[in-house]
Amino acid sequence: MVKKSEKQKKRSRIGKWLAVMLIGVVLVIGTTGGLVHFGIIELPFMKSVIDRFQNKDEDGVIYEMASRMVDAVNQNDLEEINKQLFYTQESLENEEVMALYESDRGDGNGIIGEIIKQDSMKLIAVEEDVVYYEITHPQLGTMLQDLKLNDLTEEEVVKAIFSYVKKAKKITEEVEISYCYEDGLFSADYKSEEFVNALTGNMLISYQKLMQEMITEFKEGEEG
Amino acid sequence: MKRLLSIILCMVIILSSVTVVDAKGNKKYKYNIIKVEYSDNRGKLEELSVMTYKDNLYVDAKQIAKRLGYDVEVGDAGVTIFDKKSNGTKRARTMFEFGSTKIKHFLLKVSEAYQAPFESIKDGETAWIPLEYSLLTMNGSMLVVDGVITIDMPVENIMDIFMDAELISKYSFDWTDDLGYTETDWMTIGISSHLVNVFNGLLKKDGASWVQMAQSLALDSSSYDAKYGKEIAMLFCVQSNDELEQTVKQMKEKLEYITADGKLGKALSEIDKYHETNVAALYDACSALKDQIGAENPSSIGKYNRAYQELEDACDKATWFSHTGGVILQMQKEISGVTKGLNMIFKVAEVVGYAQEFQNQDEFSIQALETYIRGTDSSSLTSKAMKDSVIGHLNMLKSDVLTYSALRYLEENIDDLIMDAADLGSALGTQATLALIAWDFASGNIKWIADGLSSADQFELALYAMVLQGDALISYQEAKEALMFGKEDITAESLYKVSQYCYAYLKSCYIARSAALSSLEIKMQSKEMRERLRPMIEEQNRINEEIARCLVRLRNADKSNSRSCYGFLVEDNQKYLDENGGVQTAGKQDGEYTWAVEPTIEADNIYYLNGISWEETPVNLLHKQLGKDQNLGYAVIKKGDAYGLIDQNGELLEGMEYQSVDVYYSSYEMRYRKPHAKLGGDDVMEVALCEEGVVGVSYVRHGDSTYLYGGVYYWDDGLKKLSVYGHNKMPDPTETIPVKKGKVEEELADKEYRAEIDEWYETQKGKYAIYTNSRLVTDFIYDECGSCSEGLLAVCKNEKWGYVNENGEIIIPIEYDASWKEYSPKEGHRENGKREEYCYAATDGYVVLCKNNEWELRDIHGESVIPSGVFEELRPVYDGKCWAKKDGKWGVLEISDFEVDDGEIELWKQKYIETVKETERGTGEDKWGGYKLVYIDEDDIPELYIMSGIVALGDTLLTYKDGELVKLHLYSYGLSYMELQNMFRVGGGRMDRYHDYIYKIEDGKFVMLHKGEFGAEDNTNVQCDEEGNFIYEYVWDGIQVSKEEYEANLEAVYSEQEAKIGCEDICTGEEIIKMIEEL
Repeated sequence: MVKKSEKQKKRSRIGKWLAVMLIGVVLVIGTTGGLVHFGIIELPFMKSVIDRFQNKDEDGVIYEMASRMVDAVNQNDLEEINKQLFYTQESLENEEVMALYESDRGDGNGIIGEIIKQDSMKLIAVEEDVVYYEITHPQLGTMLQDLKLNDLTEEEVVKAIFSYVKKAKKITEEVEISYCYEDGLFSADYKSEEFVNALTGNMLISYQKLMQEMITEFKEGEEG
Repeated sequence: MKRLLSIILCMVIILSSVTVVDAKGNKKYKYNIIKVEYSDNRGKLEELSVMTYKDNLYVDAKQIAKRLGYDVEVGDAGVTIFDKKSNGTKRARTMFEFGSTKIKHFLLKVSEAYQAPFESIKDGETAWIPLEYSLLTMNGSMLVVDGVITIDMPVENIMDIFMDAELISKYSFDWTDDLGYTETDWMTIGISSHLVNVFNGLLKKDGASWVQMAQSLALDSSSYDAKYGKEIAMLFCVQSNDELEQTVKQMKEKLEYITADGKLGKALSEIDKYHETNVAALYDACSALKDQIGAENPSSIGKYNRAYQELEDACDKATWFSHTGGVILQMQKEISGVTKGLNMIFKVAEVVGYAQEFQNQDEFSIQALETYIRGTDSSSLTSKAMKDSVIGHLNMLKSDVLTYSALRYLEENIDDLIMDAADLGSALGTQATLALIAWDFASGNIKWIADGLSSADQFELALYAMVLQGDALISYQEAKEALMFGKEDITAESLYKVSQYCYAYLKSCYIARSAALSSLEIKMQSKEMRERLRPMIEEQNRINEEIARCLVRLRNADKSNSRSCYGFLVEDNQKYLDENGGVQTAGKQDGEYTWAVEPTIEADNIYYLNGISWEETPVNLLHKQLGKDQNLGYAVIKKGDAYGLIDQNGELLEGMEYQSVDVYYSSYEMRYRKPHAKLGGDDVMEVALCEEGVVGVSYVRHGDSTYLYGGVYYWDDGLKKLSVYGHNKMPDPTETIPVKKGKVEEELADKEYRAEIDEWYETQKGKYAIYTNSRLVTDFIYDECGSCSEGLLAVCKNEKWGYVNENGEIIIPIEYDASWKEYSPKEGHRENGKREEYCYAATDGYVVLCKNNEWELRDIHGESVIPSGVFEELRPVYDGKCWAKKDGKWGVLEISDFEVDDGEIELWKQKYIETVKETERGTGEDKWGGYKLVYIDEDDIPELYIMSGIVALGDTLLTYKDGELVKLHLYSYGLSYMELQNMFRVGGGRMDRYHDYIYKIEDGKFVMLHKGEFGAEDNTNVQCDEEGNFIYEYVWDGIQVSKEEYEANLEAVYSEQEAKIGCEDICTGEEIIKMIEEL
């Protein structure tokens, strides 16, 4: 057996350390990826990498477009939410068209804005024709019925509703949104009842009940 | 050709039969004030300023636009017509560019390029635009009836609905905004209603779309949708009360076009007198009137004119008998019993009109609803169940629409309607009748008024209608935006689709509002509530009336824009141009030019010569052909080996006997081909030139130059002069000159011989620059440069020629070939010597150009006068005429028709300035005399008064006419004039002989009107009276009169008090030149 020289020994030690480091890096990446994949920790960049392997969004374009709603909700950007909800991408890219909708924009101090402040949203996955979101929102499905609004003034009604929204318990739902991506234009069906209810904490269910009560009330009043 | 004939007919009619209140005009523009009848002031004539130029009829843009209700701004480049908006702002509608046929017309806020049939013109401060064409862009039109122009006032069309920025805010129905429910009001109805109202308010704070979406999702219930789908379809497709009233109103407005008040109605009355009162005969009467009008108007006018369209409908047999099942024939008996004479045709027109309107309603509304419903996609707010329900009932309606339609009612009740009421509109408009035909269904009446049976239903229906309203609004906006900003052209067909969406939106607003108002019945039980709600209900009803007006207009939408329902579209512009012979260019086509001398002269060439005048003219001014004053109107004519001189009457000077024609000093040098008897003697075939005289040569002295100094201007770090009188012994140039760089050697500086100076200048290589007003205005960039003429200089660069003005600006691009092959450099003169290629100078306001052997004529502004390809060759213009070659022969063209006004104005200015420069009064050391511009007659060109300041010389008065200056010599200080009254007095005299001559200016001539003279019978022995006054004799117009009579006669024709003195406010030459240039 030939004895190794000092130099050879040194090289050997360096090689070992390199191998250990490499294994360590792989382990870290793999562990982190797993933790991210299962949602234990959040690392957007890692997530997009994983998604790219899972999904067919090779360019990440659809992901980016679908993320706009997520960003808008998480940043409480009601104007962006309104744009995504009510206008097409074509209109959005046309300043003259958007100028026509100037009068449609509210002052942002309404109930929707208040609910959005309590919401948070995640983009779970982008698959063919469908995007999966996870929305955490306050529970408002019986808000207008729970509140004893009968004897309140208008100002008191508004205060009560806002207070209810802030204090309401939160739940998390997964929502599936169909989308279409063609010729560079992304169009998602955000106006579906499912998504709007998730976004607004099922407030529409409460509103629907109120509308029915109103119609019944009208009929009873007529007969009376 | 058709267009020319029709315009000429139009012009003949207008100018021959319409009262001309005032007419004046210069040679090019003829101004008139004519009487027209506007549709909002029928039976009365108003004045309108028009102008004719080149057989085209123009109107004063400001006057016509303001009369039609628009705003207008006149700029330097063009005139813009604005729509006035209700909030006081204005929106650009149409822009006419001066000197161009280009028009910008705004459709849906987008500027579209249009083209007028001929150019718009600015003359002074007035903008003139094509009359008929401009009316079309302003939603008006014209018709000539019995020699009177009738003008339709603009009416709002469908495009105005699209352009209404407040459409949505005005007409969308909103519970809170429109009904203004207070908290108490809602409490009265119910707590839930109140809470809904509050909640909607909160939603709206985040955007109006949230309210619509929330309502849509909240109301999503299939049972409700199915129920209201039917109601909505029904209500959509039949006429509401308001719509019916608006239809009646619209019909009355249409019928007014052919009533007896207006010109058309009166014309119809004239024809009516001669016909029996039966329907068939009346049809013939209308047809006869149509033929008459057709003869008075170009064929396209009827297409655009509403009055004519109504007349067409009134006697359109196909319309009479289609769909109405021969109603008109059936009506005949009833009509003849009830009405007589002219009223019968109106009754027929009225019935037919209503039938058409009701049919329109049925067809259009069904199509609109179907287009809208089928056009919505999954993102629509309206639920699928609702849409399916609407479609289902729509199909039913299509097959049985007559059951529900006003047309059916009309047909079934026409006899009674006519018998009971002479005014059909009133009959249709009564409330009771409306209740029968509007919103009336075969099964299950839905009553909207009183009894409150279905207030709850109305309330719910209003909610659903609001969902439809929101959805329809999105569809309409998307369709409109696609047209405005997309690639699709704005055509009648694309606008038809937008019209349908707009109709769907407005009708849903109407239904929602009506339903909401009807739901208030439950609240109208107490008097107090009724009083409180009345103003609000009236306001909402007013809004619905406005909506109904829009709906009635929208129903006139069609895919061809045959009745200009969208106004004047781009496709209509093209059709209009096609019908009127296209765009008129400055040039005419072959066969439309005027020959002063018919093209029958055979010659190889006809051309002009340049002069040499060694002693008198700087070289820089010689690079052009002899001017009019110098060439005496002659051009050189060449035929084989024979040459001659020919004038513009086609007459030769002594025939074609010469073997050469050249210029030598101040003469034409013409060498005979054969020995000439004049010079007598020998047969000499060869001619030798010698100083003392030559054999066989004739000299024809041409005109003198006006210059006094020979030499040359050149550049050597500044402008230098070299003349026969020595270095720098020339005055500064008074006009624009071409210069080259040069270096003068000392020995040349004092040369006296012009030949050496010229020779030296020729040896100076290098390029030319332009020198004006003591400075260079270009660099030394031109290979050749002609002398200035008419403000232009021919320049050559890289063997291509063009023209620049005195500022060095390129007026005619440098892309032409040399137009003058007979230019003689100095050594080329005599015996057909050396010739070079050059370009003719501009003359009489025109320039001849040649490119690839194709000749054209432009004016000095670069505008085309004769396009290339019409004539084989052209020569410079003199006295408004030029030589032209056609089919191998030469003739003289009359160019005076093409004179451009600006050029004419520039010409008189140039003439005056040249005269001022030549006479140089008030300058230099004497500073005597001066100049003044005086306005004696009414034209825009003033007279030039030159006061010499020296009695012996006297004064001069000049007037300008047709390119010429006419002079009148006056006694010094003797001029006085009555400004703009075409009267002036020349007084003066000396040594007891005096005069008062009264003149006017007529056709460019000074015409003496009166001649007054007085003085001593013998001025060597003047007698005095007792008081020491001289005894004079007075003669007035050849008759001896007393002094008092003389003075009375003078006063009677000339008011010295009103007159201005000629010699007051005199200017120097420099001042007057500036004044002239600034005019």
